[in-house]
Amino acid sequence: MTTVAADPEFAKLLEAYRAGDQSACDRIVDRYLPLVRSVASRYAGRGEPLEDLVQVGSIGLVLAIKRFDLERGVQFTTYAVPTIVGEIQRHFRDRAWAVHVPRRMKELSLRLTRTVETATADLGRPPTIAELAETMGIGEDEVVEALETYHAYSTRSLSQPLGPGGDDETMEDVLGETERGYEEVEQGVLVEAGMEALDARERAIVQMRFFEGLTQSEIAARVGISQMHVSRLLRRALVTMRGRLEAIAEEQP
Amino acid sequence: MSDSAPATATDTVLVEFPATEGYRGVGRLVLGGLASRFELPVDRVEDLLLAVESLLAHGVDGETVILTVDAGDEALRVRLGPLVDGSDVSDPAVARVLRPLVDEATNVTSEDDGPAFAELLVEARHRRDG
Repeated sequence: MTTVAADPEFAKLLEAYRAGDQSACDRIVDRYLPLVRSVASRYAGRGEPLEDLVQVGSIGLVLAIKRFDLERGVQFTTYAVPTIVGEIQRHFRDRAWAVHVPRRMKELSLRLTRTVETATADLGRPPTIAELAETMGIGEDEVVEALETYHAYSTRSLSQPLGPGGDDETMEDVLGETERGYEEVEQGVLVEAGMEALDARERAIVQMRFFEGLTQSEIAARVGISQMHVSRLLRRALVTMRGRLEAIAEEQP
Repeated sequence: MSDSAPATATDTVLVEFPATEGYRGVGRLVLGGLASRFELPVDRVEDLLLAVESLLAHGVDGETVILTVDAGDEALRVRLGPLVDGSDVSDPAVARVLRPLVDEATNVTSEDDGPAFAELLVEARHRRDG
C-alpha cells in the first residue's frame, strides 16, 4: 500500500476500472483487503464475527474506489479508511437498532418523521417539540427520545426513489444538480480536506447548510426530503469528515 | 413535560456523565428536553444537538463531560467541556461547523485558570413566539 504517486500500478488499475473493466476493481480490492482486515480488527470482540466486519468494510472499500479522484493527489488509504470505518460503524448502528430499540420507539420515530413533515406544511414553519407532542398525543420527553432513536437508525439509501409511487427520481439525482458551485466556494484547507471524504450528495447538503446558510427545513424543501433526513445526512457527513481529518492527523510526521 | 410552563431564567441544569458513546446519548436527551422547554422549533433543536455532538466527538477532554444548560428568557446557553487542551471553538475550521448551527460559540475559562469550556448560545428570537 503505497502512495498514488509512487504506485503507477494502482493508477493503471483505477483507470481500467473507470473504463469499464470490473476485474480491475476486484484486483484493487484484493490489494487493499489487508487494510480492511486491519481496520475491521479494531472492532473485533464487540459481538460481531470478524469476517462479517471484513465483509462490511469491503463495501466501504468499493465505495472509496468508486469515488476516489486521482487528481486530488492524496493517498488512497487516507481516502479509504474513513469510508471503511463509516460502513463498519453503520453496521453496528443497524444491528443496535435491530436488537435493542423497542418496537414502540421504532414506530414512534417513524411517526415523528411524518408528523414533522405534515406539521411543517400545516403551520408554514417547523413545529416545536411541544406542538409535535400534542399532535402525536405523547409527552415531549417521548418526542425527544424518538428524535434520538431516529438518528440511531440506518440511513436511507440515496439511490432510493423519492416518489411514493415509485417515481424514478432519486435524491442522488436531485442533489447532483446543486453541486456545481462547490468548486467556487472558498474554504479552509482542513474543511476542504474533510469534505473530500464525502460523496457528491453529502457534500451538497453540507455546502447548503454550512456555506450557503440554508436551514435544515429550507434544504429539505429544496431537495425534497424530510428535515429529519437532512439532519441525519448532516450528522453522517460530519462523522465522515472527522474520520478523514483524524486520518490526516495520524499521517502527519 | 407537555403541560410544563415555558423555560424561565431559573431553569439551569447541570449534568456530569462519562465521556463514552453510551452516555453521550443521555446528554443529548437532557439537552433535547431543555431545548424543548425553550420552545425552539425542531430543526433548531436538531442543529443544537448536532453542534454538541460534534464537540463531544472531537473536542472534549477527560473521562467526564460536564454539561450545563441554562434556559433563560433571552437565550438558551449551553456550556460543555472540559475541552481538549489548546482547543478553541473560534478556530476557523471549528467555527465553520458551529456558526451556522448556533448564534454564538465561544471559549470560556473559570477564574481559577481551570480548563476551557465551550459555550453555545441560541437566542430567544428563534423561539416559536420569539
